[in-house]
Amino acid sequence: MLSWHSRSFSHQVGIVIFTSAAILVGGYAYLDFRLESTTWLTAIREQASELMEITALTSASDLHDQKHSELLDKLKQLTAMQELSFSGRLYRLREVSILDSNGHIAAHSDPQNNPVGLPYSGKMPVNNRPIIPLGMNIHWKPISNEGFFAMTPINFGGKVIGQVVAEFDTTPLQEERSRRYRNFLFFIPLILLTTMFLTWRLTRWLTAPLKQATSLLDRLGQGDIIVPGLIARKDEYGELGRAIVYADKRIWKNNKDLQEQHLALTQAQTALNQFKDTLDQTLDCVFMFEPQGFKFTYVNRGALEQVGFSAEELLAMTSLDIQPDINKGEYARLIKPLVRGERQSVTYETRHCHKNGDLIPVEILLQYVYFPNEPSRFVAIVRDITERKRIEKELEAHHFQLEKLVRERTSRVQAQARIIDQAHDSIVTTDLDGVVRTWNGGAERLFGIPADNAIGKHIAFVYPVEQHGFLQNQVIKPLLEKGVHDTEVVMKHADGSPIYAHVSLSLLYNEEGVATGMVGYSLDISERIQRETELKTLTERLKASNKELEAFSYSVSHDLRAPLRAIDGFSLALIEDYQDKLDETGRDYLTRVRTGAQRMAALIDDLLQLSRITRSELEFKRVNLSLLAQNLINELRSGSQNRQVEAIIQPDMHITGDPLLLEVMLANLIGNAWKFTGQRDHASIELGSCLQNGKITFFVHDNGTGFDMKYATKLFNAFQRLHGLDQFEGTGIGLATVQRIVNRHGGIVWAESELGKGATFYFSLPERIRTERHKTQSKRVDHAEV
Amino acid sequence: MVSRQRIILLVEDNPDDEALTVMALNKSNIADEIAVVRDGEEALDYFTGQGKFSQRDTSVLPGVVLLDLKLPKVSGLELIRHIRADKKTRYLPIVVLSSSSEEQDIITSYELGANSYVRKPVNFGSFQNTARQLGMYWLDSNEVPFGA
Repeated sequence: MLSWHSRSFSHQVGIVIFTSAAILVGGYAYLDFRLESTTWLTAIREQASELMEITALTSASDLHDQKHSELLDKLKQLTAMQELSFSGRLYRLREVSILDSNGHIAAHSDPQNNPVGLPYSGKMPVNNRPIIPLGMNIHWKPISNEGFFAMTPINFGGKVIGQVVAEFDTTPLQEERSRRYRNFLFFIPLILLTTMFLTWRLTRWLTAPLKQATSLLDRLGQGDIIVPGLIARKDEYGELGRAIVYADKRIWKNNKDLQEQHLALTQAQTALNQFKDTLDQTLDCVFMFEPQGFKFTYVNRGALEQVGFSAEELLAMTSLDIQPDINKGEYARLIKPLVRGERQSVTYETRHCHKNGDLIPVEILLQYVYFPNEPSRFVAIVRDITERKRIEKELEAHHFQLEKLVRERTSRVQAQARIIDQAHDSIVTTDLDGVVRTWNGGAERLFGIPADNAIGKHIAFVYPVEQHGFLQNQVIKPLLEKGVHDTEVVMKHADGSPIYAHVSLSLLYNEEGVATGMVGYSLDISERIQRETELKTLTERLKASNKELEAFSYSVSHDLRAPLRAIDGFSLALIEDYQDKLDETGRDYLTRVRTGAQRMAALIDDLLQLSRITRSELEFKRVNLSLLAQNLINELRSGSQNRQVEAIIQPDMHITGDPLLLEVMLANLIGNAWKFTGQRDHASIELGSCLQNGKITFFVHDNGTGFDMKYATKLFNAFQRLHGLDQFEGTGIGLATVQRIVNRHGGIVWAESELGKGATFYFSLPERIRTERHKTQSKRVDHAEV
Repeated sequence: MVSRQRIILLVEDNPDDEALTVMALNKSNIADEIAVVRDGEEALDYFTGQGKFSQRDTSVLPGVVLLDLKLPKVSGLELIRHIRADKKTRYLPIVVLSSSSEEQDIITSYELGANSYVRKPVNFGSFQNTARQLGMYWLDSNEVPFGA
């Protein structure tokens, strides 16, 4: 069973309203019921009394006169009147009678059963005497709950002569009452239900704003935004809502203030605690002592550890006790400016005395603090500087070492700088914009500009204006892109003359790897360029003279030979056609003329060949030397069939060179061998190869006349002959041609001989890749193959 | 109708060489006729029947042309080009007789269509041999398309 206050307000209100309504309805019903039945009863009685009294009044004279029929009419009137009365339907007149003073029936509503003269036998006891005393109009007597008796005395002549007795039936009233009960019982549940419903609605109507207020409060409590539903109402609930909101604002503000105050307080407390803890735990030593007598008032952990005393011990000591190096007078002088307020703090170095007698070097920061409501005091913050002293010493040593190192490095750097400065090449550094930063001696010499005049200027100042585009696009740009760059440039000397230089450029980087500048090494290649130019001119000139030579050679071969042919031809014509007119001497002379002409022709041919060797371009091919030699020998053999010459040719000797020139060379060598073995009965020519100084060397050996080695150096000169023409014919150009061919191949040729014992000619050519030269005169090659 | 005769056309500007060549050819007695012209222009006149050859029957062609390269006016090489360009003479045997043995001359001569290249030797004896062989070969042995 729930207690009253644990029920919800709406329950409470509901119960109160419902109960009140129920009581009200019940009470009203009860009262109404009761009141109505009483009223009706009273109304019935009054009516009945009235009727009775009227009857009694009207029947008095008839009774006295014994006019019984009259009396009966009166009764009949009474009955009719009763039936017509207002309350007539609620009761019925069951019977009525008029009795005489003896109690005998004078008239009765039912005359058949109750004849006149008979004693009254009704339910109401009627005495002979009038029952009702004088003065009383009527007398009532209820008959259980079915009805009542009524008696009214009949007065005549101041005496009671009879009475009217009536029996009323109130059953209709009872029935009416029962009907009302039924109605009531029927309506009560309806009413109760209606009441309950109304109560429920009422409760809701009453409590809804309360709930709204509650939820508002809840939401306010949660810090939610106020919904203006409630506070917009104009009634008491609106006031409540506004009051809540107002209260809420106040509460919030108070709460916030309180929280802030609390937070500030907590923080202050924490800070204070931390500060004290920190101070306590700080390894730096904090001492506090009184201004008079210097007795310690506070020492922290660091202080205790430093001097080795316990807190109790130390708090019983004075500041001077642990500073053996300072006496009282000195101390007084030391603290004087603090006490006077001239200085905020004093810092000094001294030594603290440990409990065990050790002296500790310390640095002390001393302050004098005073507050309005507290005793003033000294605060000393003491730092152990043993380590610092040691480090200072070490640092000093290091410093000394470092200075030494720096001196050495400096001298080394200076030496390097001197090297750079004295380097022959120009070495110039610039920043990334190209502004000169350093300028060595080489640069001074190269450009003829002293460093002082160059540093700070843009590097473009050593370039002619027309080269500035090149400098920007071909020098600086590729350098910045690639980090290094090599190129050849044209710069200018202070005197305006051009400088041809090869520059090697690289970017300079700092320790973080960021490019900070450029360095350029310039190598003066003016001489080279000049040489190249000269060489070019020379080549041009050479080409021109070559051309001239060609024309000359052509002219020589063509024109010089024509007269010789005429000389020879006509001499022969003379000899043959004019035989008879010439004597022996004449013919001999003509023969000599012819010999001279033919020799000159041979000379011309040899000279032409020699010059052609110099002029023609080389074409390198693999040449079978053995085959070539064999062919040459065969040719020689067919040319002079009377000679017996043994030829020993090493097979499959190969050499790389110009096939035509090699043939000319070999023809000369073998031709010489053939020629100079002409006087041998067993002539022998040998062609072979051997290794000399690691190189393949070919040789042509013969067992011919040979030569004196003292002429070996002259052997290869043009027109140099070692034998008389009468001995061996020849122009003296053959070996010169050989040497020129070998030289053109980059090889060497030499000869060894002993007079009378034959000669050996050696030659070796450098090894080459077969197709080293592609640029050849194809026409000549074609022809050579024809 | 073109007919070839045992005629040798010698194109030579040097009178000495001309005399010697004619002498050598005559000694071997090969040709019926040795016609001599002094330069390329005359040679062209010979073929076209102009100038001093206006009376010549141009339908008659020589059996071989002996040609020196170094000629005044129209050079020997140009002459070869002309002969080869003319439909009538394009198969005419041409033997270059030159003092030079310059390779370039030899190559160019062959390129232009010379049939042979002979260097005039200084030794006249050799030259006589050469001339005889030339005559015999080109006039007797060699065949050319008839009526071309």
